[in-house]
Amino acid sequence: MKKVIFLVDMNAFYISCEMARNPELKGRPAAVAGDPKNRSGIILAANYEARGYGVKTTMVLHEAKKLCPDIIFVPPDHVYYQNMSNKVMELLRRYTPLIQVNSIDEAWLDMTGCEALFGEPITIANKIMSEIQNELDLWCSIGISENKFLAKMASEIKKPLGITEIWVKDIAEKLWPLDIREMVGIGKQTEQKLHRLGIYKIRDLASLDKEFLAKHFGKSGIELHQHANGIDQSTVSANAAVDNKSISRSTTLSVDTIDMKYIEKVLLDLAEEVGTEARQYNYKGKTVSIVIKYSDFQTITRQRAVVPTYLTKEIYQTGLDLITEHWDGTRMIRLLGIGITNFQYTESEQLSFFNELGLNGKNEKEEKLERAIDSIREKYGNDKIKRAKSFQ
Amino acid sequence: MKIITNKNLLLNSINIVQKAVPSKTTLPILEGILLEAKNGKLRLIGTDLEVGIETTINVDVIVPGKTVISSKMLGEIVRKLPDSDIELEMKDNNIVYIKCENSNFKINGMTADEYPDLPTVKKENGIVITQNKFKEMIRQTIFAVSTDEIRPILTGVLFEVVGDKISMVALDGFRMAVKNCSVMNDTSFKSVIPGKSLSEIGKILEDTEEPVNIYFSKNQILVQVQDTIVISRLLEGEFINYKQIIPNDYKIKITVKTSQLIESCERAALFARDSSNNMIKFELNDDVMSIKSNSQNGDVQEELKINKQGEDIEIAFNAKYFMDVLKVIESDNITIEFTTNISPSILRPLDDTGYLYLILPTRFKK
Repeated sequence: MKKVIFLVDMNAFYISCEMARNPELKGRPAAVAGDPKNRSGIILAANYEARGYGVKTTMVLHEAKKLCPDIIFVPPDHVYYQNMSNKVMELLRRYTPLIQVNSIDEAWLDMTGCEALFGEPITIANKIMSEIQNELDLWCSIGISENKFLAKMASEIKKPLGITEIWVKDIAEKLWPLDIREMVGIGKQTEQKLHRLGIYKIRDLASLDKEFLAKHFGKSGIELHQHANGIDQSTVSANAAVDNKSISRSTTLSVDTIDMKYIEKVLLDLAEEVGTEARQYNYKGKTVSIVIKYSDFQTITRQRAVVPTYLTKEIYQTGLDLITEHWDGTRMIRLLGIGITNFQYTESEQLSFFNELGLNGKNEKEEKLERAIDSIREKYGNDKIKRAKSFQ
Repeated sequence: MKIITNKNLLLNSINIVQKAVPSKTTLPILEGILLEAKNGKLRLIGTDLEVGIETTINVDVIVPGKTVISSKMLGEIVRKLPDSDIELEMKDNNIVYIKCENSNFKINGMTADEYPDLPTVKKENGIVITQNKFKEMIRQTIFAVSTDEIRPILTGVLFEVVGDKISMVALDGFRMAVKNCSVMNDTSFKSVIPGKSLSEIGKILEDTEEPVNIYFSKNQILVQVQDTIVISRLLEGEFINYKQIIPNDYKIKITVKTSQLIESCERAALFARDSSNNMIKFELNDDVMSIKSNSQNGDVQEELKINKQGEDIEIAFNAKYFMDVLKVIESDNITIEFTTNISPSILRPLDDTGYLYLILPTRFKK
């Protein structure tokens, strides 16, 4: 049977999420961007209005401001984007269980054999696109083909809100005229190398001798050649719901610091993200670990065994203890990270007096509290409820 | 210092105090045994500062004095000497000469003044119990102490005296052993003895009706067994209110032969080892109890005759938690009380009302 593969790509995902919860941004140039005082003060995602002014991802803020003085910057809220992404993926699962989530804003769907259920591929794609638009107020582009590579190429052709088909029979017309830089998997380095070899269009690549490419690019050369000819054997492999070995977060601080108050706040915010994700999956970690990168880039990691937990408070407290024990308080810190690992195996679970019988009175209370915070955030947004410490 | 004594007597006392000598320490003097001779007696002391053991033997004291000798070396030398009289003499510069028949050793001692004093415990607040009774109380509880340092208080055994009743309780979060005994006393106190100290005390105790004196102070326990005393630090903190964990009621009660149950569990556990929680499953149907376990390598099913009151039940446990307790029960028959397959079960020897073992099941997927 001929395969039918979709690539659903969310357009300008971060800023679209922001526009979905703040309609005031609609129709005005806006971008998700790091704090201008921060090292991470760059454009992460610009909406299409801003792109019209030439604002691009990774541009530094003042550059963007110069191009588009009215631009509105929104600070990033990764937890929220992840939640929205999960909702998108959930929606896509209505159509097929065979979904490979490629990143926060794109996924491959194996739609082979679904015509009888939902109609022609193009019809299904339209339905998916409008459902995402109506239910989540987000835009996407969909590429349709018989393999993952061509589906991905197709999704790039028309943005935003485009549905493009590139079947193998179409490649001479739709794929070959494109510049090699347009091809998925070719970056600046490969592009330059190909240019030196006199290769500019995908057509050139397709017509080349396979051995010649293998000689210059090794294994990836053969893959390039196959892709250029519309061949891709890789299959959509459904992601396991969770196959995590650890959950962790780290961040480069806006300035190198020895300010304990600031360190505590950053650590708490990171622990909160770790805890939220862990509680979502019901994964309790038996080990809490921290990472400290000093201003000279020397990095240390330290860990400690704990009673299996997914509570923000416990993760944070253990992390803080580790930092106070292993940091001398004078070396400038550049980056902090915290995580849990060594998950409790849940196939069968040894019951314990502490959990089952409420001997951990405090924990039970804390768990209820954190679960409540989780559901408030899920319903009303992440910034609606915060720990007092985070306001400092 | 100069003494003459018998090899076996000396070896025996060395063996006793060695139980407290640490194998690794940052204080080298603690690797030694303190020997002090005076008034016709030799006093030996070993300590790791957590627990200290002191024992006294009768010897011929020719010159009184004291010294510290490496525990390892002294033990090995005396063990290998012929069964005869030993002459032990310390001359100047802490050099110790050991003579026995045709053997002559010369070893370097350490300065006795540097050896730490054992803490003192006033012999005021205390009880008397027979050695065999105390030994059994230790044996039936100590295996359930926690090895996890996360809750340090649970690495010890609760020792509670109320009037003429003594209770010892150990729990690690997944199971709990409670042993009650009556003694001729009228005093009250409560303390938590480190599991490690208690295990050493257990080794010194013998299966006799001879008495043991146990004294408590705020931070220390002193156990006197004839000529030996053990002093241990107590654990600080509040022990868990264990009585609130013990269910008052049950729905199902079975009686089963102890020896049959332990053998079946041991066989079933052969496969349980491979599973994550060392899980064995009990299925109670009328008067048959099936014990099942499976792994990638295969599975096993055991059947036992039981006497059951109440409905049928399917419940799983960590095999180790079951076998641990079955090994320390002397009764031919035991009873087990169940409520649901996610609530605690209680195991009791049929003819010993003073003992109770509570075990939490493993939640399993059907």
